[in-house]
Amino acid sequence: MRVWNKVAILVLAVVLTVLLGACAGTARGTKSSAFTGAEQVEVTDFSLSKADALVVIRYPAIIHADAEEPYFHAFSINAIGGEVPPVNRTKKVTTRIAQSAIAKSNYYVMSLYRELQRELPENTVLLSPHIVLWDRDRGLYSRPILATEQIPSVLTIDFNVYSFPDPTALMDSPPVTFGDLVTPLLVVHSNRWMQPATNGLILASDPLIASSWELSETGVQNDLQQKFAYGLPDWQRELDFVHFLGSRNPDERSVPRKGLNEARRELMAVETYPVEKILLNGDLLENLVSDYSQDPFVEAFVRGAGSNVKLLLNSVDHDRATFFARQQALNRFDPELAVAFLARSSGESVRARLQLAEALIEAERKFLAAQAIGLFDGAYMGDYGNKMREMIQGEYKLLQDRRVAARKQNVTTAVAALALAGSIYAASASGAVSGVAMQGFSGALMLGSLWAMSSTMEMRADSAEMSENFLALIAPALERQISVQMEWLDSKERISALGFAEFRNKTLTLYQARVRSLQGQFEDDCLFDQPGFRQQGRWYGKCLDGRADGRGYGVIVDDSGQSVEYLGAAENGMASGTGGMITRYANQAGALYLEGTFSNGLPDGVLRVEEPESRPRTREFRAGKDVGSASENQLKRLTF
Amino acid sequence: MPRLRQILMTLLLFSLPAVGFAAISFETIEEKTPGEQYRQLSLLMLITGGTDPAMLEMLQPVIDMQEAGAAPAMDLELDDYVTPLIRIVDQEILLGGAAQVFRFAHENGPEIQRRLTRIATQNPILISMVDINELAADAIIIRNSIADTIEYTESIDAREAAARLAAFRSQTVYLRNMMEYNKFQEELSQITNQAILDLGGRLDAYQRMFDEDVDEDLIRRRIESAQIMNSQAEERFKGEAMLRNAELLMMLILMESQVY
Repeated sequence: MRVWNKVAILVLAVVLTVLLGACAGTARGTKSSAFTGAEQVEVTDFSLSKADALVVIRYPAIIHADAEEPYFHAFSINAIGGEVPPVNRTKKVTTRIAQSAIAKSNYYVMSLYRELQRELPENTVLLSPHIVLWDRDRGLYSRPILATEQIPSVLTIDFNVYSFPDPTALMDSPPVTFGDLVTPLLVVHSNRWMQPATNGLILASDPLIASSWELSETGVQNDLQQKFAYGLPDWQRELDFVHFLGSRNPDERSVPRKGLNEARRELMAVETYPVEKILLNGDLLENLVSDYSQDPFVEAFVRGAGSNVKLLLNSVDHDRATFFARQQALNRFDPELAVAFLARSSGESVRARLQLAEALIEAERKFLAAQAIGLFDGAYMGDYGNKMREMIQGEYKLLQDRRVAARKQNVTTAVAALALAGSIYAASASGAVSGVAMQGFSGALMLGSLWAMSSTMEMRADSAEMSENFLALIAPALERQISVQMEWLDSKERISALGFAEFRNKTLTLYQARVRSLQGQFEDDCLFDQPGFRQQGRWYGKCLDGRADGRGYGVIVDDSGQSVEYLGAAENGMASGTGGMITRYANQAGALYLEGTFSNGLPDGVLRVEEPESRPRTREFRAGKDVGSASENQLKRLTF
Repeated sequence: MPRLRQILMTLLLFSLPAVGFAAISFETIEEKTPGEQYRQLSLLMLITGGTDPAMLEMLQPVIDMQEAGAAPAMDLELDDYVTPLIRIVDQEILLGGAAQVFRFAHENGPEIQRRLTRIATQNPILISMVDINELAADAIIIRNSIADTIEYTESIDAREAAARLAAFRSQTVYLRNMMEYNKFQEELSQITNQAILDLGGRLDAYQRMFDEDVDEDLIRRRIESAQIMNSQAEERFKGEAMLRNAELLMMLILMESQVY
């Protein structure tokens, strides 16, 4: 019996040790992000075009009422950091955590925006808030609320924060965004021509990489089909995170990857950003409400990530990255010029008209930059930001209490504190916002969760007596403030959309009144051939007798899914002269890019070769055959 | 008809100031008011901007004929080129004047640009009101009349002139396009700034609906801002004058950067 007692005590001791360790683990984060240590850089923009933005930041902002249930469901079944047991998937707490991911993304994204906006030239950093939607055909998806993504941008960043949906698993130290812990998810992508080997996908958070790869591929296929069949662009890249949630078990693919900040920087692969639970500086969180001059998220994560983005901006050819996005933007209001643009005509009539058209896009960029500042003011500087800071400060104090309790090895208190932390998300929706904000969008989700959290705190505080400070920070009459804020955000979207439509109408009228005719013949349906392809393709640009001849852009998509696109000089319907060619094969991930001189559709001369999982190299070709290495200074680069 | 032309010519010769053949010089320009000096020098640069020095060689037969007394000579001021009178002036006279203008501009380009900047610095209010686009419009008329005259003047070798003339005309089209772009950009900026203000105003108005109290602090700050802005009016004119000057110089630089 005594032996059994000893065993029981031993087992209990082990359980306690594990439990305490786990409790401590729950509250731990990494003080040093993988981005930390990136050198400080200043961005130099050598691009010829003034129309393009440098960075567009996309994030989930609101969710439509119809999408709530599918979003909660997707959030629970596609959890990052573990599997949520089926029984826990439909719990209220899970939905609250899903809501909090959106609410907190709205806040934390502003730190990234502000940092980049401060460092980069004026009006070159734009925000693209998305609304999460659902319909029977598409399932869960998102679309941008503003017209930001119609502006050509060198880089596009998807940003959101994440919390594991099952609070009962908090002991396993999953990714969370709570108090001083923040788990950011990132994807950085660009146009495929910037890095053809990876379809323009540059960096992705580890769990999102497969779905981001799929999205980039789909984007390429849609664009090629549209150009091949001369259709109108009808595909919009949804948020990568929403696509991840909406596509359970995306196909396992051999995505070319490389680690973050690896020495193999030049390798044509997607940089993989690990899931990090970032630990913010507690000293900065103590009085976050009264003093937020030093942003703890900037210190812990954004500065490093921002430097990485700036390094990237310095290392890429901006005109190459935005060439096709600019062409698409022109196509929206001046299709004739868009074709001449593909031909890269140097004629004065094209230059002058292009100058007017780019000024128009630049004006739109300026307008959208003003909208982004408005969003920042509302979500960071205004009421919403204040409430979020109150919430984060409160959460932090709560976590600190738990950590103190854990350190004292008072298991009961530690577990109680942990339970309290988890239960913050378990509020009932009874206190949710009512009023105008509820009419169309479920705006309540953005701030309703905030309200729900505070009412839970109130409910729990009586028993736990641990959230006194927290409650004091959550101002009374919170409901009314949230309601006002929601109405403001909702109206802001409508007013902004109305304002932009009016603005675009006026600028287009001005443009149409001022443009002169284009001199020169630019076709959009000449024949383009490529050896190895049975099907003939379409050529945009200069032609002779209905065949590609001169500068322009050609594309072929065959029935097997194989495709080739070429930008450059052509003769007799085939690539001949200086140009760049992207070839995709149905059974291979990524694409092969060749840039240099071509003859009769084949590489002929010195060319730069880029392919997945290899460094770019300079090779000499004769009639399509690789005959050996060559010097870079013999290479004739394609100018965009 | 030739008789009528002769009468008109005689009238014109009497009506124009007779200040000698070498009419364009810094001395004659300095006699004018600073605003007029700025206008004349700018016009001079815009007329000659981006032209091949070989244009002078092309006009040499005309200069030779005038110096030999084989062609009528007459002083033309820059402004005369934009009046209807220029249409009845003898081709050799017009081109003789043009040759003077080109030579003067080519020989004194840097000094002209220095003077432009100095006038803008010393007279900011005056120069801030100069409309560069109007000057460009005048320059385009003058350049076209010079180009048309070259084309129909027998003493100039047509084969040799063709390529240079085409380049000169394309420069003029470029100048016109820049002028149109400036106008477009000005209107576009107005629309954009107004749209941004409207958007902010609408959102502010919406926000104010929820603010019960008048923000006296904000009103006070705005009054102070207005006072500061008024006191800085002089500074603003300086800035605008330099902006106009920069606009002109940019036009010239862009024209110069075009391939002949």
